[in-house]
Amino acid sequence: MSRRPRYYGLMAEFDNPTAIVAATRRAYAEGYRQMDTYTPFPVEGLAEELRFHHTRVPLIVLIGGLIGCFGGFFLQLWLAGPYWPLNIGGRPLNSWPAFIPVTFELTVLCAAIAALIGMLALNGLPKPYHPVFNVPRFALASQDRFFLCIEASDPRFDRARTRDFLESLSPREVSDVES
Amino acid sequence: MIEARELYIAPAAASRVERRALIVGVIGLILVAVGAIFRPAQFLQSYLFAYQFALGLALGSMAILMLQYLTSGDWGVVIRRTLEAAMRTLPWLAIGFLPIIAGVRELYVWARPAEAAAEGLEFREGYLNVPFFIARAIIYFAVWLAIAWRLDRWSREQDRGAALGWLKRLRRLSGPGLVIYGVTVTFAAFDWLMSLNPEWFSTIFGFLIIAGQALSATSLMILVAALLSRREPMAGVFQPRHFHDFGKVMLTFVILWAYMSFSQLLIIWAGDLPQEIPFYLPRMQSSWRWIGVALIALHFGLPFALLLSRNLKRRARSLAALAGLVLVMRVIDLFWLVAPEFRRQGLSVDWFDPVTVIGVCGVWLALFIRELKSRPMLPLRDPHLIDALSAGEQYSVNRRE
Amino acid sequence: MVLTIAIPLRSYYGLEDLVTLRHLDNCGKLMLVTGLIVDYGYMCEIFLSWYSKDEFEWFMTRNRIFGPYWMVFWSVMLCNVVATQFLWSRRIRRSPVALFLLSLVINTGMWVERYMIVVTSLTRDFMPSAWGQYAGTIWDYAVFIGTLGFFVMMMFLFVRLLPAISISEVRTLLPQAEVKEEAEEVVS
Repeated sequence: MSRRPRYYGLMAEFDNPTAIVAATRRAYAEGYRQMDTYTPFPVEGLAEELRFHHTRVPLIVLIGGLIGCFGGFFLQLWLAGPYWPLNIGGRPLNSWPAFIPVTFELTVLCAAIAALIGMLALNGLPKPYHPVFNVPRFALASQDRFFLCIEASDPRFDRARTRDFLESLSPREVSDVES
Repeated sequence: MIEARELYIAPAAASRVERRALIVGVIGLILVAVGAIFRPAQFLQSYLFAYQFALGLALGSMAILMLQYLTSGDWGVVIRRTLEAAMRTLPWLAIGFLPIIAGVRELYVWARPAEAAAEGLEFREGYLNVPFFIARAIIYFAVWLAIAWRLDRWSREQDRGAALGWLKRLRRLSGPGLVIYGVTVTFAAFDWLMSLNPEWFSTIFGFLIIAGQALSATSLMILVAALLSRREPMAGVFQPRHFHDFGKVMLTFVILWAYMSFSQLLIIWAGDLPQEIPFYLPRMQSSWRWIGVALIALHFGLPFALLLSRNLKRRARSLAALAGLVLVMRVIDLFWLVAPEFRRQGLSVDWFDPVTVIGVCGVWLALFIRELKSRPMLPLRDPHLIDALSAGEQYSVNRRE
Repeated sequence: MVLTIAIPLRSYYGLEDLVTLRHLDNCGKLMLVTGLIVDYGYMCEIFLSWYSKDEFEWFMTRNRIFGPYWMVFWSVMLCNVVATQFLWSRRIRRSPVALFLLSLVINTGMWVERYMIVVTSLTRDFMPSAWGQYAGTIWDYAVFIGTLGFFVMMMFLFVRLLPAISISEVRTLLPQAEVKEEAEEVVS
C-alpha cells in the first residue's frame, strides 16, 4: 500500500431497500466504482446494481471436488489392488461399483471443505478491524438501515463533491468514514 | 377473454411439424409392419422399447401434471397445457398396446410354458401367465385413462370459468393420483419389461422406470417450450426464470435416475446371486457394456455436469439441446433394458430398431401436436397465471397458500 | 425428526410467528411423501420376494412377518405404514400436538425398521448352522441411550449458541424488504 488515504470514504444512510437500490444505480451512473453497500438482509437487485462480479469460489469448490473424487477412487483402487491385494468373496480387485459410494462421499467432503476455506480466503474473514465500523450509526446496518459507502480510493472521489452528490440522493445522513 | 383464447392458439408452424411427423411416422410404421410379416419376433422387440418410450412421455407428463398441481410453481402453470396434450395421447397408446398383447407368446418366454419348463426356468406361474397379464394391462390402462380423463375434464371446466374451485379439486385428485400412478407404473414395469427375464427381479426397477418417465416428459416439455418461445404467441410467455426452473426439475430427475440405476447395479453386483446377476452378465461382459458406458456418460455425466450451470439453465436454446440429448438417451436406455435379453451374444442393432422408434415417435408426435392445437396454450382462467407470467424474479414464498 | 425437535422448540421459545402452522403443514406433507415412498419400498420388497419364486427370498419375508421377530415387523407396519396415513388429514397436519406425537411414532418406526433389517437378516443366514437369536444387552442399550444423549447435547448447544432461525432469511420475508418498482422511476 503506497499511500493510506486519510479517509476511508463517505457513507450515506437510507431507511428502505428501494432507496438504496436507486442510490446505488445513481452512483454507478455518476462513475463511482469503488463502493459497497451494507444492508441487514440480501436486497434483491442490489448486487446487479453494484456490478458485483462473480467470485472464484465455485472454481475452488470444483477443484476440491475433483481432488476428492479422483483421490477417493484411486485411493481404493491402489489399496485394494497393488498395495494390499485382498480377495473379497472372489470379486475382482478392481471392484469399481463398490468404490463409488466412498468416492462420492469424499467428493462432497473435499468440495465442502474447499468451499469453506476458499470463501474465507477470498473474503478476508475473520477481519478484526474494518473502517466502516468507525461510523457510530453503522451498527444499524444489522437492524433496519441501509448504507452506501463510496470509498476514497475511487478515482472520482472528491470529499466535497462526493458529499454533495450523496446529499442529493436525500439520505437520512451522510457521514465521514475515517480509516 | 374471447380474444385472449384466440391469441394463445398454437402457431401455424405446429401444423407443418404435425404433418411431417405424421408422414414420416406412418412410412416408418408401414415399413416395419411389412417387415413384421417376415420377422415378427424382431418387430416385437423393437416395438416394445419404442412403445415404452412413447408411453413414458405420456405417463410422465401425467405425473408431472399432478406434481405441478401439488407444488404449484410458476413453471407448472406455463407448461400445463403441453403436459395435458401429452397426457391426452393415452387412449391412442392404449390401442398401441394391442401388438404387444398379440405377440405376448413371441416376446415373453414365460408365455411359452413348455419351453420355459424345458429350460428349467423357475418363475411364479400364478402371476406370469397370459390371461392374468392381459387382465392387468387392462386394469393399468383403465386406471390411467380414468385419472387422465378427470385431470383433463376439470382443467377444461376451469377454462370455461363456469365455477370456481376446480384448482382445489385438481389438487385433491393429484395426491392420491400420484400414489396410484406410482403403484400401477411399477407393476406395469414388472410385467412388460422386467418379466422379459422371468427369473430376474429388482425391487428398484419400478422406481427406475418412474424416474425415466418423469425425465422423458420433462425433457420433452423443455424442448416444446423452447420451440414455442421462438414464435408468437408464446414468445413473451417463457422467461429465463421458467427455463431455470425446468432445468432444475430436469436435474432432479437426472440424479434420481442415476441414483436408482447405480443402487440397482451396486446391490446386484455386490450380492452376485444366481437369480439376480444374469441381468447384468450380458450387459457388462459383452459388447453391450459400451451402451452402458454411453448411458453413464451421456444419460448422467454430461447432463449432470452441464445442468449445474445457472447460465445454461437460463438459456432456452442450450437447455433444449441438452433435453434433446436426454430424450435420445432415454430411447437408448430402454433399448438397453430390452434388447440384451434377446441378443445375449453382444451388441447388435437391427434396422427394425431405429425405424420402429422413428415410426412410433413420428405418429405420437403428430397426435401430441394435434392435441396441443386443440386448446389455448395457457390456462387462461387459472388464478396463478398472472404470477406465472409476471416479469419479476420474486420469491414465491409469500404468495401461496 | 425435524418436527420432533422443531415443535417443542417452537413452543418453548415462542417462535409461533416464525414457524407458522403453514410451515408445519408443509413439513407434514413432506413426511407423508417420504412415508409413502417407504411404504412403496416395503410393497415392492414383499411382492417381489413372492414373485421371484426364490426360496431364500421368500423364506426371509415369511420369517420377518411370522418368524420370531414378528412383533418387530408389525411394529414397523404400524408406525411407518398405518401412522403416516393420518397425515393425509389437513386437520392433523395443522395440529402441533398431533404432529408431534406422529413424529415420535414415526421415529420409533424408523428405529425399529433398522432393527428389523439388521437383526432378522443376521439371525437367519444362508447356512442354518449360523442361525441364532438376538436380544439387546445392557451395553446395546447403553450405546443407544448414549448416542441419543450426545445428539441432544450437541443440538442444545447449537440452539443455545447460534441463532436457531436464520435472521437474514427471515428479514427477507418482511414486507419492507420488497424493492418497489419506483426505483426505476427515480432514475429515469
